[in-house]
Amino acid sequence: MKSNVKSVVVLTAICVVVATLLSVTNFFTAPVIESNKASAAYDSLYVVMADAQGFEDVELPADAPETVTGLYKETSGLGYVATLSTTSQYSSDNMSITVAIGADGTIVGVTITGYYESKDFGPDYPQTYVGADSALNGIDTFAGVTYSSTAFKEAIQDAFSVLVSSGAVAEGQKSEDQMVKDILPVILPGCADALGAAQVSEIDPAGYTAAYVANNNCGYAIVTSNDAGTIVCVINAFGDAKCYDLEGNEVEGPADEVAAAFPSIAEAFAQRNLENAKKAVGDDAVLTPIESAPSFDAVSGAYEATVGDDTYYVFNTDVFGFNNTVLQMAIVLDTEGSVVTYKPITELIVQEEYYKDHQLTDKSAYVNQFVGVNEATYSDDITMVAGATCTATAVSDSIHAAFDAFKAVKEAQ
Amino acid sequence: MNKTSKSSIFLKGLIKENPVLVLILGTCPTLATTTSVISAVAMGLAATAVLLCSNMVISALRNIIPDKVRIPCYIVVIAGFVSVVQMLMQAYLPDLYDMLGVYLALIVVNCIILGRAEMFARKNNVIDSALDGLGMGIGFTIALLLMATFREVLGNGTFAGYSIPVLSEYNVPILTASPGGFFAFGCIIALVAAITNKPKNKIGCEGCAAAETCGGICPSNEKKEDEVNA
Repeated sequence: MKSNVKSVVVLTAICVVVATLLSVTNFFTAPVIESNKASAAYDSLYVVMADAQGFEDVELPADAPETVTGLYKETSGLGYVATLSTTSQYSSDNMSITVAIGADGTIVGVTITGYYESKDFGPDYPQTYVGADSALNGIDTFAGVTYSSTAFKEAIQDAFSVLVSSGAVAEGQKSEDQMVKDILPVILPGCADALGAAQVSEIDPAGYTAAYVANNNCGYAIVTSNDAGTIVCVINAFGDAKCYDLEGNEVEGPADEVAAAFPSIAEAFAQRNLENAKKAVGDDAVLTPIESAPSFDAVSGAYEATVGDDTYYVFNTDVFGFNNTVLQMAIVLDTEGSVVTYKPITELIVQEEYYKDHQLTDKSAYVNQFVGVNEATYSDDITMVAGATCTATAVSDSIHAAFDAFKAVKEAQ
Repeated sequence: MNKTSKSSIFLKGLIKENPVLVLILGTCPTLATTTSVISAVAMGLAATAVLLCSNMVISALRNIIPDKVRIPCYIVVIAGFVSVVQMLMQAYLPDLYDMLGVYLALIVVNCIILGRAEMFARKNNVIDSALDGLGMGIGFTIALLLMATFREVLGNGTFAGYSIPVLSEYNVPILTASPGGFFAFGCIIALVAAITNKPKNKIGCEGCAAAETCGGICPSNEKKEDEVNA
């Protein structure tokens, strides 16, 4: 009994002494450990703002985009650092970005701390943002890695939106070039890719300030000026033109003059479009080109087709699909605007198993779903095929473009 | 004990009774932390500090601690020192703390430390126990350094993180993986056995390098005693 008591007392005493020793050690080391942890949390911030003296947390506003996960203010007034988390639809996990924005409202450093996208835009692309202000003038998405680079660009814009809206940094002024690029997908919707960015190439301006041709040949855009300032005129594939100011308001302008200055794309592609139209409607059909179709969607050709006593409208569409390759289609509508058939000229990039997932037997079953559908009865549920989103979206956009052109043709008649 | 015997207490841990290469104790941290020289030396020094302190405290308390609770007492003392080392490293050597990870906390269950407490410190005075702890700790560190040098230089082409010409291009990466660790361990044990001319074909206490200090308290000896008693 006595030895048992001694054992308990000794063990307890040792435990008390050891606990005291640990308490004392903890008293001295805990603040240092906390300080280490705090500075480790800020380590990634110094990567983008090397001259920083220190950082303090900034509370994010309630309406801050979800993309912005953290905001830190440099203590000596050099600027701010934001941590961002974003994703495109082609990633296994979120992309993590740290961006430093100086007090003058320009980006002073940017780094990617986590990248899980299926395609990589490389280390140089993020560095093109250094020096840019919130207008991001001249910064485009990365060709071939459009979805990921768009997600990256939008995340940077989100960081700016938080800082600008809180008055922390001044808003950057967009250059005229940037304003033109921003407005093009709105006034010439046919040139926009699936993410809404204008896919155009600069061409000889023929005496105007600048000129662009849509990469899918749906029209041109020229930049010129009138008494009110810079204006942008867009010309569709048939030579119909409209002019807009940089705010996107339609204005009076030299539409006819600029339309005449550029050859009609429909004429340039007349032979190709005619052959494609015949593939859809048959060789027996009599095809008459429609000279004017005031639609600015992705239509590069339009025909009135007569087969026996029946009349149809055939529209050649060129829409950006998977990887921004152009999906060419010929869509046949009846006189009421309902789909009679359509012919994908470019092979649909949809694998057979996707059709099965969509409870369809094969490609012809997929195509036949559209027969009889018109603008009022159309639903994206028909086109969307899980696993082939880009191509399915392109098909949807093509049919919408045909409906749009049909309406324009009818209104013109 | 005279001066010579004190030096022998210290020196025996270095090679003759090296805890890793002769007694084959502490194999887990040896294999886990020897992928780089820096982490190996850090582990060795941390274990040495704990070994030295725990040996001294346990020796000082050897006449106070009742026999029946000696193991729990040893564990509390060792765990206390490990926690102190852990906190100090986390505060003042955070990079090394991150590098060693869970293996730092696992010093608590390192056989060398509990083994020296049970085999030596509880039977000897504080100075001798300190010398034993220091010698064993340095022997442990030397063994880790040897292993880490072998693995990092040949497996990664670097030494303490510095690139070695030629070897950085032509190396054997498997040496930094677990199989390479066992291979290196075996090679170094064989080398040390050859150098020290370790007796062969002797089973039990006669063939054990720790027989002098353990006093015959080992499973093989107990088995013989049981047979005699039967």
